[in-house]
Amino acid sequence: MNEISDTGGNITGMIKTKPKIYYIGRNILDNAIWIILVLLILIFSSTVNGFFSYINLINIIYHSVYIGLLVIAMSMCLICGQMDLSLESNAGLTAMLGAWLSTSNTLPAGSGLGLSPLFVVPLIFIVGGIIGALNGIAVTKLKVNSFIVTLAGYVAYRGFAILITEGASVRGATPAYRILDTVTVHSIPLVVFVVIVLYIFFYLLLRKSKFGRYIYAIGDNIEAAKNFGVKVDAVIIKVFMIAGVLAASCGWFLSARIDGATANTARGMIFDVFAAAVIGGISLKGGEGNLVNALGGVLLLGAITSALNIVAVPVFYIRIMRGGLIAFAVIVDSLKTKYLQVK
Amino acid sequence: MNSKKSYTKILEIKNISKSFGAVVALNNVSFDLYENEIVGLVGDNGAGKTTLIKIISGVFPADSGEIRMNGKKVYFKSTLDARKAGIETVYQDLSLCDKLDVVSNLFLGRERCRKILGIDFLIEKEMEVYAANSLSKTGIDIPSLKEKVRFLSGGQRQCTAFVRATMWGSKIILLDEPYAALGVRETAKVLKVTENLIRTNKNLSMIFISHNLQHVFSIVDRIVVLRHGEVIGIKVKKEINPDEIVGMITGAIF
Repeated sequence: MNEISDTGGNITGMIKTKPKIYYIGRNILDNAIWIILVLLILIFSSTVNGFFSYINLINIIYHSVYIGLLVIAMSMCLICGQMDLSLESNAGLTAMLGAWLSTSNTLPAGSGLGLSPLFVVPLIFIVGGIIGALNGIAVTKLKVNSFIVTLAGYVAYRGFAILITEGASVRGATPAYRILDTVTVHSIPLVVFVVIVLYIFFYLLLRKSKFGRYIYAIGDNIEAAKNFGVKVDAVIIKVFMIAGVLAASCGWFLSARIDGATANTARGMIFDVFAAAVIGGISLKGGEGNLVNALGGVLLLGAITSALNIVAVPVFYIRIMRGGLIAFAVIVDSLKTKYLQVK
Repeated sequence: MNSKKSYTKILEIKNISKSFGAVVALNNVSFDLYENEIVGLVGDNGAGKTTLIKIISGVFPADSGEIRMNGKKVYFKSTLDARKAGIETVYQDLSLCDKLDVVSNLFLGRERCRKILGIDFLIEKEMEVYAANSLSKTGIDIPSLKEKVRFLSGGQRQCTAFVRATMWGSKIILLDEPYAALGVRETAKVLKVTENLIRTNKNLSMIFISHNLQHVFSIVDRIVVLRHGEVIGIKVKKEINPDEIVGMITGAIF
């Protein structure tokens, strides 16, 4: 154990005070993502032509919205010590369902119903919520590892999405269904504001509410949480349900943006979601991280992708770089744990 | 300061027996715990100390026998039942959430909240003040209540878990092998804090389990010696010395 540098029988002597620099260092490490983001934006702005323009910056944010929504969902799951890989297919399924019900076309594969979003949107939210609830129940009641459960969902829900139109694409939703995407303020689509509000709400929920406190406690030490009367199963199921509804909202916004859905809508997103969350300091070990920094991770990924696209870097390099970024983030996460642990 | 206290029995353990298959873990164990008393529960490995503590704290029921609190028979179906009745257990692993701060740990499962739009939001300031008061009574100094528990020393963590156990109107604290991971001087201090907290709070009593007789002798009033699941003797600390206790534990003295 540690050295005790005390002077008498007083318990106060037990304290090993750490130098102020230690706390400053810890704070900087904890929020390093924003420093990196600012530096990268400065570098890109001075080296990449057309990066630092209002339109491009808005574009980065607009394109980050969909990843951003799933990052909220993934972050909640990770903080709670769980994982949800089915988010992507959930978004794909709900996008397809929403677009299919909203289109008045029957060709090539629409339902021809042209239903109002007042009906369609709640419906796909319920579908997303049910998918989440199933994940949560499997994890808590059947005690299956969340990675496995949601991996199965990742595969299966994509199948359901394709099943709706037997693989065909759907085009042409009702204008009302697309309203959050088509209406802009200073050329910023409304959906951006919606996601910002969601970030603020979920940040407060996680950090300032009892429910949020329990999410952290469960991810940290599930036995302790149980010991002190936290209804662990109920909290985990709720987390998965909220994640499912967020995935459905992502599905809605995606199908609104492309005015339809294909068998591949949202495909491949889960890797970026995962990357953004981890880069944003959401620990894979659970119980750690916050949404503000996760948002930093989302924007960082968006900025890098945008810069690489502008200079037309071949797509395989982009993939290699993203992979490297994830590996880097995970290594930083684990080094942080190792060196900040002062015994 | 102990034998005079024989007025109120807070906890009565009566003829408790427990077997696991063919193994008799506890056989007809009885002893009492008086108000504001610290009883040391000692015995060799496998003597049944932990089994007894688990029965009292509601982890599992006894095969036969009864437990009375304040004269009333109690039956615990879970540790939460026992906790509601006022029995708090501090386990070796302390049950702390390392990545949460001190206040969050003290209030875990008992958060103060106010409802806004149907959501329970934490009243952090109030909890912080209450926590600061509870800790200041003990003389424990913690760098900041907002410090995450994992950045605290072993002794500070131990004290945090112990203070949490005493904070909630609890009546009986069960302390199971608490200081295995602490250094010598740190242990001495934590023992002092522990004893002070019990002695200054007349509503608290404690059962203290330890292998370390030096620790036991430094804070208890009476000592219950278990051997092979039976109570070999119940001694007032002043009337016995550690060597005799060792004799009783090992079976050299009956």
